[in-house]
Amino acid sequence: MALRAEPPDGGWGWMVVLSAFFQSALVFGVLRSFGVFFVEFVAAFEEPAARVSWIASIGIAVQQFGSPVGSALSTKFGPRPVVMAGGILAALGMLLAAFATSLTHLYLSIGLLSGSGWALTFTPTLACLSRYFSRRRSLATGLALTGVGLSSFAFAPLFQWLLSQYAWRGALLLVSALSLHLVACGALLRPLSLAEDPVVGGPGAQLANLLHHGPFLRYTVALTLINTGYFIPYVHLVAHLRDLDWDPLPAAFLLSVAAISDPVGRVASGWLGDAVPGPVARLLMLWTTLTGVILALYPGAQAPTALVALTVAYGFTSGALTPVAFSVLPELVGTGKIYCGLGLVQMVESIGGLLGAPLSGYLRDVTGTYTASFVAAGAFLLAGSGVLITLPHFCLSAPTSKPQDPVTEALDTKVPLPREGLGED
Amino acid sequence: MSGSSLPSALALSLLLVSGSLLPGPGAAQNEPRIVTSEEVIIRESPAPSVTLQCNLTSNSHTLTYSYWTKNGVELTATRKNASNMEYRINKPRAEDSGEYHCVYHFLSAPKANATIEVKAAPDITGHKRSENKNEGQDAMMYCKSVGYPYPEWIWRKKENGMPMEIVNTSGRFIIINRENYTELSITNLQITEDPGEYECNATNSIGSASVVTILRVRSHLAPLWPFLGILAEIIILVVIIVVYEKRKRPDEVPDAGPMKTNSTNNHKDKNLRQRNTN
Repeated sequence: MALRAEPPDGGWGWMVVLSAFFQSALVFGVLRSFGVFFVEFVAAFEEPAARVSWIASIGIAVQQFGSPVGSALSTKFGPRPVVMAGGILAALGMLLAAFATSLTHLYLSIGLLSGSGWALTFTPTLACLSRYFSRRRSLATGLALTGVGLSSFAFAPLFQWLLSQYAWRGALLLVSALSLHLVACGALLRPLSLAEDPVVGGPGAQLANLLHHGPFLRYTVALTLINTGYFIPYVHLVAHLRDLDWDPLPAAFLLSVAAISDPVGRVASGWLGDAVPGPVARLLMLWTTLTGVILALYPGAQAPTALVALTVAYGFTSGALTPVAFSVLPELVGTGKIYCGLGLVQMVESIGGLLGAPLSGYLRDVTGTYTASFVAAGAFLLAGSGVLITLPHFCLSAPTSKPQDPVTEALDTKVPLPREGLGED
Repeated sequence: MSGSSLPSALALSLLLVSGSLLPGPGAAQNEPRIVTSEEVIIRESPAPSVTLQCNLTSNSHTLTYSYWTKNGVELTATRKNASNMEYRINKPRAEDSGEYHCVYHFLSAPKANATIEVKAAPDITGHKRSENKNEGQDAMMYCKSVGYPYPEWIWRKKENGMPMEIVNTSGRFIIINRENYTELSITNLQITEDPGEYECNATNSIGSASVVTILRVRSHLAPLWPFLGILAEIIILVVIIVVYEKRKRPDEVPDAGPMKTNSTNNHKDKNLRQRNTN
């Protein structure tokens, strides 16, 4: 087996970027566009909206909590077989959902089965990507993550068309076929052996090591806080606009505007993260602070132009923080432990994601407007960026994004701040 | 000349004159008479503006107030105290048609009214452009119209381009007609005979209108072909990717994880051949 001293930073890595692009589209694009099926399920099963929305919630929760499993398995077997298996599971879940006769069937098939499939795909792929790139890691991650934004743009009308042509059972059948492309994407994840790998050990040892790694834990806390506030606008913006007497169509259009500036932000930030010297964590802090400030400004904006400007800015900054967030982790824990590290981070920060939307909704119910919700979201983001400051070497100029000597990484906590991305959702 | 005819003729004429001066039966309630303008037919649009007029003549009672109604509902801001009533319709359209009444209320007498009919050809204002259902389900198509007099409804289906009246041999067609509304329901859709263009036609004494609704019936097997097609495409992709990789670097294609040098083969994809590396 050929061992490489350094990540190739290109070559087959770009195929991995392509694979990650399609995977983020097929996992998160599908999740985000699933609202289109929502109306059909409510009518077909005659269940209230709250019960139907559990389908997506279970799927997201399983995907995020299952991330460490995906990481551990790919540490042991490599990303390729794990991702391909995940693709089969995800497609199988959708296939079984097409034959559902009750809501519980959907909870189990889409929520549990597809969710587990998705858990096995996303984290190993991103970790694999981080192993293929070092100098251009942020750019590669940013490019790969644009898949989410572009797909949620395209999939919503596509799903609507599928529903009108084939009704929901036929549409689910075809979404299952679409999800099966994850298997093809997994096939592209050619394994890579890096010099530091043999030193690091198996998944169990890695996990134990990570849990004692101070900066890693602080970083996880920071990401959890950030994740709590991060997608409040995607969840509540339309409702907030309706409160301000906007019509439904312009309100939905505003959300698409955010969906457009989001991938732009990702690529720009990815390029910036690689071009600017110094710890990438500083850039992460910049973007999270900006996003927090923007969210806090939302309640003050009444005029349509102000709201549009804020939404464009939110899309850009929130997209910008994702690739940088992912780039931090390999610097923090090294490419050897990245599979486990990423899985752990995803799982913990998903708690924030799960709590964020209901908390925001609760604040709205209690206070009557979304002002408190937006301000709270902004506060979480600012708190998260505050915790980032505590990461080592934040204020000093430290070596840039090169993987550290694995031995020192295993023992040492003085590493440049990792820039891990936030979990996608 | 006889002297006795003159007093009898005089008495007769006196009787006649006094008789005409006496109030006759029913003359105490002098019926108010209302003179109205003629019935209006709204033809083309834009139509010239129309004024409805009512004039209360020969009225001996005190008028309290008067107003206009359309189809039994009082029109706002028409209430006045005048014996001469006017109602102007500026840009008459089909929905302005109906039965208009000018109503007069009196102090101690029953109210009086007169009718002016404003007629127009029906205009169909609501219908579904298309209806997509699965076979075996029920379809419902409807049409709403405005216009007076209320139209007669006929549903037709286009066979070979020609609208044909619907024959309910299978008993699956249900038609409900109301004044300005009609509904066609088809139960247990059959994919062989039901899909097509359905036309609802509204006809009254002035004119007629019709619109088309397209009915599509989805087959249960329809998504199967694209599904199998995509499945085949994915298998081809995976084979291409794997073959390309094996041909390029036949000696160094590790499928095991980067952590272990002795990999175990454990994967679910049947297309990928695992190789043990050491």
